[in-house]
Amino acid sequence: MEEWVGVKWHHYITAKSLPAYPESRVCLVDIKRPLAIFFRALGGDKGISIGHTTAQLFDGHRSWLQKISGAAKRFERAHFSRDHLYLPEHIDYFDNRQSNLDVYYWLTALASHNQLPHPQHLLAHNLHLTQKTLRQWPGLKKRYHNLIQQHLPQRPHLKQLPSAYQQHELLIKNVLKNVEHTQAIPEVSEQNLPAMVPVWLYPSPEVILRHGNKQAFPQAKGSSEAKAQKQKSKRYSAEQVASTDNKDGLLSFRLESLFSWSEFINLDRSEEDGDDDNEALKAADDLDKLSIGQGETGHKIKLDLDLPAAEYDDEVLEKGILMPEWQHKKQQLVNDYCSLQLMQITASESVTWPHQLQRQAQQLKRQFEALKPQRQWLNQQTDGEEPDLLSFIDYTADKRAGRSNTDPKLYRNLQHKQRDLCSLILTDLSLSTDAYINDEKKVIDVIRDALYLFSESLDAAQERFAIAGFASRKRSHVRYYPIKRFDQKYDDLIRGRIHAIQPSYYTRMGTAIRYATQALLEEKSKQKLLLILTDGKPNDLDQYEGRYGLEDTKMAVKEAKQKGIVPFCVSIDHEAYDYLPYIFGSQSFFHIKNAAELPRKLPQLYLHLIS
Amino acid sequence: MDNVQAIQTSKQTFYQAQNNEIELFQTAANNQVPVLIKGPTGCGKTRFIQHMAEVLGRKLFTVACHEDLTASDLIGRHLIGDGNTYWQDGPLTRAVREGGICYLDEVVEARKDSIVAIHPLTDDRRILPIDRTGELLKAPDDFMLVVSYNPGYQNLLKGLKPSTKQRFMALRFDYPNIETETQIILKETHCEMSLAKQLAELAHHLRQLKEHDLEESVSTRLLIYAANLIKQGINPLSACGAAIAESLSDDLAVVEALNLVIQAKLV
Repeated sequence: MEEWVGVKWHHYITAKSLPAYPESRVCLVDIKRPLAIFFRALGGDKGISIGHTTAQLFDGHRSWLQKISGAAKRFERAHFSRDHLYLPEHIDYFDNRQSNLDVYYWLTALASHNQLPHPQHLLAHNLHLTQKTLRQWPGLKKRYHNLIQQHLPQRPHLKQLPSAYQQHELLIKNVLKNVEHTQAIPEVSEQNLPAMVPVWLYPSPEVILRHGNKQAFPQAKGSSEAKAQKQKSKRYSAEQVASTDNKDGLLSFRLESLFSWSEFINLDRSEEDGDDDNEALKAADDLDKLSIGQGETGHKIKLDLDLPAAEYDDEVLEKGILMPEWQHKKQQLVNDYCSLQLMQITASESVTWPHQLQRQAQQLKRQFEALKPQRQWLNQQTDGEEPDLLSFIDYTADKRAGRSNTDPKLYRNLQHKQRDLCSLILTDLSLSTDAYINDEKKVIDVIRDALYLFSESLDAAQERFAIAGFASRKRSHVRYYPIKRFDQKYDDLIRGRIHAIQPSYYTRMGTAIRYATQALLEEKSKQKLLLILTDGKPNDLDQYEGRYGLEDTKMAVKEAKQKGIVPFCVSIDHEAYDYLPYIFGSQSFFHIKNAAELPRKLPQLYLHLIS
Repeated sequence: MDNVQAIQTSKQTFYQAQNNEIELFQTAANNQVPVLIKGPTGCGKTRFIQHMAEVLGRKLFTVACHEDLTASDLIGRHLIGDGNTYWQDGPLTRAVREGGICYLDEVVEARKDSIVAIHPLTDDRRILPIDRTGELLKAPDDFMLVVSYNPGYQNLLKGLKPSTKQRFMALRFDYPNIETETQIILKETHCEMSLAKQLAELAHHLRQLKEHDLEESVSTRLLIYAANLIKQGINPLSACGAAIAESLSDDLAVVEALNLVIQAKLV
């Protein structure tokens, strides 16, 4: 009963204090794709994907009613952060769906200038963005004014506001109503806001939100002048945490409040392993809030994913092959940046595949045998080596009957059907493939089955093909497994190797693509296909993630294309649409929604690609 | 052959130069250099050739290439007539005999073995051997070979052989910039200046989606269609929806996004 009353009261009081219309709610997931295309068409950065924010504490004024009900305490701000444009997860500000939808498109249009307001100049910068957007996209004027018309009555009345906020509220209302406002605008930061404005962009959380706390981020040891400069211009949501050395007190730990990544864990980070200080800075960037404690650390355990001892590991064929990497911030291809090693899977030749899979392989083989290079007679040609008697009889009969065909096809021709094509299948063997896709199978199992079926099919069609896998652990250790080379026969040894593939480490995709490109270039065929199987974004332990990884992979793909290779990616990642078009282009990737279908779809996809 | 046309030089076709392509083409024509034109769909390749044929006062023989195009379709073949056979020239042979520009449109679509037929015409011999009749035609000075293709559709198994590519001087065409495109729309449709400008700006934005979301970006031709529809009294949003958004993609989500961009641009 108590709970029931509580829930009712909560609903009543939140509805009273903050307007929300759940029945006309629009969810970001439903419109993400068109929204992303809209963003790019309006000039938004193509490397940015759209994601939803978590609600963050609202720093501005809250009414008495809102404080009671706990409403408006958190607010989902639209902002950029690294390689994402973050928008609210759902919008239900207005009582009609269209307007809520329009808010999304309006925020996206504002963001398409790839600029964010400064925390101190929230009002002035948003006004500038609004003016710029409306100038460039006059068709949005009607929608914008419509949104403002609906939003203004929702804003607090001047009389109800403390006097400190009244002036700002008046100014905000003026600016919202009259976008051609040209008078000088004073500094307005989020703390001065009488209420949130849903049609604005906000600074990213990486920029410090608490302006009272001007404490600089403690300087890392031995960092250069330039770095110190960078830290000053970049502020973190920092808090000083008191040393947790009180031994007594209440046990305030509850199971549901397990530590999340960004919460303070008393660990000694003064000797993080890493190539350089950049990595530590990068890690700090990843956190919304950076907690720094001084004094004794609680633990001395260092976590690291180590390489297995040599006797348990796969056999190394060749070490220290240096490969370049693209650094997009420098816009430069850095030579000899990654070290690649060729490895071979230790496998036995006698493996048995499940019966069902073998049956599937038989079916595919029959289908692919039709692709074997062969010669065939084509009838009814306008030109050819022999006359086509049947056509000639038809033609003569027609002519006798008084119907004459001016373009008779009276010859047969012998044609050689031959493809001049070789394909390299490059598969991702990173740890992420260890995840389960359903009750029975992991991603790696699906990849294994797919490789088996596909190889059987290609072998039946007498295609020239190679198979390789890759994984990586930072730039110094990129593993490339040549499971089958082009000149190797497809036999039980290869089947054994396919059977023995195991997930390990991370996905430094660019390096692997570059090496595979070299292997393909040694081939004499005119057409070269590089088929990449993956389950996620490029990533590695060091800076190789997010934008950096995407850009390097994109560059590797571009290099391959320039060398006449056709790269094609098959992904089972359900977020593939967010980043694969950026790397491969809209026509060079295929997304398989249900990962379990990969083994069945891959051979069909190949047929489609080459015919 | 119904795809061969001889253009009369009475009224000149409108062509808006983007660069020095007219000068380059004229020089190539005067020096018997074959020309390859590459560029995306609807950017004005065919219009350019028509215009140049008129400027140079030469006949134009256009062949739209397709998969089943054989060497005999280009050169000619024996036809069986009433009781006997007779030889009929193909468009290429006609152009060589009569002089003029032979234009092979979308040349990558043609089978590779039929394209080899043009090789002897594209080096300094400038001859066309016809095996069937035993003739050896020497191309006159005003014969010119022009081929075009769209590097955008890189089909896995299609593409111009390097040995063919290297026989041509190549001109790259692209969509014009906003000002030039506005002028083109104005000249072609005589619509209002503001509309032409909006359409050109819209196209400029939609072209950023190429590769990423769209296979092909919006062509100048589509913009002209849209402007014409609007001039005839169709509502601008539905005209652009039909002439632009729906022509560019079959994917519903993409069409929806394109329509929103159109709505954002047009007042």
